[in-house]
Amino acid sequence: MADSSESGAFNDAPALEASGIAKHFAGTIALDDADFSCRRGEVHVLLGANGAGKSTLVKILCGVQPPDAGTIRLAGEPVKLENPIRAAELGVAAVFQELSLAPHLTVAENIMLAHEPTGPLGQIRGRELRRRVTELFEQIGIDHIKPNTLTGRLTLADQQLVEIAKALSHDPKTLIVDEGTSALGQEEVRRLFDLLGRLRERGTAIIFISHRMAEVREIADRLTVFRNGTNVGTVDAADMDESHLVELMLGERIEQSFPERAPRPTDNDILLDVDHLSAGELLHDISFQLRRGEVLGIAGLEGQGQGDLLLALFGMVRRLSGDVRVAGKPVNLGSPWKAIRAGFALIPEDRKTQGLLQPQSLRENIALASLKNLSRGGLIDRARERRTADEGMKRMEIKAASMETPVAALSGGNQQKVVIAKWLETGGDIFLFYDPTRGVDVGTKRAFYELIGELARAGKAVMLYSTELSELVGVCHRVLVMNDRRIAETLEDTDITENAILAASLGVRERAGADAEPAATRNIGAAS
Amino acid sequence: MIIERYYSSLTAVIGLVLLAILFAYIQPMILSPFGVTMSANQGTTLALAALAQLVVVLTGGVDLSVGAMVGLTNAIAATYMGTHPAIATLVIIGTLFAGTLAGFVNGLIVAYGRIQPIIVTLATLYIYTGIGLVVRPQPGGSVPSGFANALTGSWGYLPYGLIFLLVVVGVAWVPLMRSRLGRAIKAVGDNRNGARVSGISVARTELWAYTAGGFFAACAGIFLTAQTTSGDPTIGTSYTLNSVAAVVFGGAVLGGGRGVALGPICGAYFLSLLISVLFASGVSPFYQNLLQGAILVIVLAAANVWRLRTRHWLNVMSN
Repeated sequence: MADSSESGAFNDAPALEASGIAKHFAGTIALDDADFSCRRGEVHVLLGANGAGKSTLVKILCGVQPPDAGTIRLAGEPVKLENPIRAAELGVAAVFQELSLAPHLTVAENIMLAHEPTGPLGQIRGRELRRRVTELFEQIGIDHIKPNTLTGRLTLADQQLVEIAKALSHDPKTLIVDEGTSALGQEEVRRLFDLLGRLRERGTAIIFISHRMAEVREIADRLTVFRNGTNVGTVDAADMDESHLVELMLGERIEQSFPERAPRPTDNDILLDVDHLSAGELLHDISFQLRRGEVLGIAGLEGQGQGDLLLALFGMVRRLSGDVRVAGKPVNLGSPWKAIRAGFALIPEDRKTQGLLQPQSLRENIALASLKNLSRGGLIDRARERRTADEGMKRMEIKAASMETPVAALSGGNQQKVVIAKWLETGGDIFLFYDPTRGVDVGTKRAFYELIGELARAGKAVMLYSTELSELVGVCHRVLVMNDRRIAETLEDTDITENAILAASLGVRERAGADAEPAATRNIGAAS
Repeated sequence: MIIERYYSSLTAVIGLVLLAILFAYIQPMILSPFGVTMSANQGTTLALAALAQLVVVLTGGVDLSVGAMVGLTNAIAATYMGTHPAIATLVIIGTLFAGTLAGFVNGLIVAYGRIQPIIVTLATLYIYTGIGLVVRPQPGGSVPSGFANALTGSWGYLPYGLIFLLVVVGVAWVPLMRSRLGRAIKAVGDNRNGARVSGISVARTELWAYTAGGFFAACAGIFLTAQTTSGDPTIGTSYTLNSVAAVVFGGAVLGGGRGVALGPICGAYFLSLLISVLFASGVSPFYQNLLQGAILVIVLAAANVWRLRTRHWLNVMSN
């Protein structure tokens, strides 16, 4: 401790060590006697199902919330992390899962928020601030984001990069990345990992939370699993056994990661026929067909138009051209309510802002999109509304105390089920899933896959836009791979592999094997 | 300076220019030093009140007590100012302090009482008006003419009132917005939780935003005192909602996080000039309110049309 010489004893002290951490929220135990430690120069992955206490631990470690009990040591020294700025000063910074950025401040203003360089009169030194951000961007290899852009104008992926830069602006000794890759495409994840690798070499301790096992496999030095608010095991990455980890996380055994796929429809009952759909710069000449009972994946690197395709079908993109037919009838996709009437149902990416009214009850949320059917003479028929909500809850197996529970009180997985229950009630036929498992734990993911299968078996059609390759491989009958806002390739059945999707996304087609691929598997939809 | 942030002020700036041209066309007489000064002075109090409202609106709140604070400070200034320049100066400083204190109280209750700003400031609206009535039960008071002339006179075509406003902006508003506090105010209004996890104390930021609001309201009260040369605690009533209108017309968003001073200031002058224009064009006073409201709605709707010409409905919703 006397001058920070690299004396053996203190070299061994972990960069960050938390012991006996407890945290209660209004009667529920979020963390209970939790221990965790992270060494210098390691990437320590934190795993756990939703509600396992990971996020609470992160909040405590970076000073957002105080623990009820327990001690935190940084390089052996006990510290009190009273607020995020204090934590940052002590060398702990976090990349938050829910973006902490203010959309109407510029990128540079956001990155330096609350630690701006100031002059003698307390004025912010704007030029110095931008200089630091430019320097930071150079260091970490961000060259396509201008510091003076308003942050809200950036794509979600770029915002996530800004969020990461914001954490790094504190030059942390311990960096916490909480779901920091969830909005990033493959290429950006690659760059982030390169960056984390460099930080690791410099001795930064990195705590990494992700639900993407492929990433975890790639970057982890050690892994710690949390369950029910406590540490249930730490292993070296070398000894990692995925099924064992999943078992630890869930506390029960799951045999396979994907449920059995719904049978691929054999008849030619075409429900959705999209013909030469374009939308300005957003979509170019999209054509495909979707059958009843089919699960169609939408893949591609970040920002290749996958999300916009779903939003277009849901009437949220303006100035569309081309034909869209549902069950043979042409439909007008001028607004969401027209799309709903045509049978489309969107399970949006950000269920908190687009899918649900958080403070309102389950009952109100389930009934919301079908109030017209549930009311008589302009008044809502309460009995029918309750019946509908009850049916929806049973059908989707939503776990809640009652139908009057506010949606905000439900777990993420159950919230998604509420969104689906709502659309089932409107008589939705074509379910558009917009990256639904982003930031969702393994158990809930599985429930999702089962749900998609059920919808398909019930004769609904499903479109699944996902950023997770394994999910597309495990769940879909067909996958449209998008590149540059058009359909680059269509993969079917056994051709759907992670490699094939990635290769198609990257536009790698001339490689060996591409010739051997039967031409019929390409652009099936587009050819029709 | 991020030019993009000033786009939202465009409607108010253009509206003000067009209205001024229209006014000069109807009533060429106003193009005299006296006419310009009089027209400007009519809007300066509201412009200052709009700054008071804007700093609070930026945090995502609203201050219904702006008008009451204007009236209270007006009553205090006119009652105690007397005739001696030294005393008058002390009273002006005291008045500024009183307004700032009133804003501080608003801030304390909003930030630490965890009560909705609209309710808190509705309550303090009555409290501040009540205190004003204790200080000065009847309109009146004495205001030294030197003081009145210093704020309401002009140098050629340049009204002193406008200079006063620019001084307030230059000495108080700009430094505030360039400080960490100003940045925090915008961040809190833009993304409350994000600001919190970035290490900003939301409560403290709100406290100082409302306090600053009180200071700007006091500036408005002092100008009003010079303009009317009397004190009346109930005179401020109209400034509350008009300041909200000026702020919104000036491109700020009631949800918080967005707005620059230019727009609301121009919005305030627009609103006060509108009354003069309606009067000058011979509209019956009975129809003035009706027309004023209708024009406001039309202009605001026109200003918002561009927002709908956007790629995604999502963008509209987030606006």
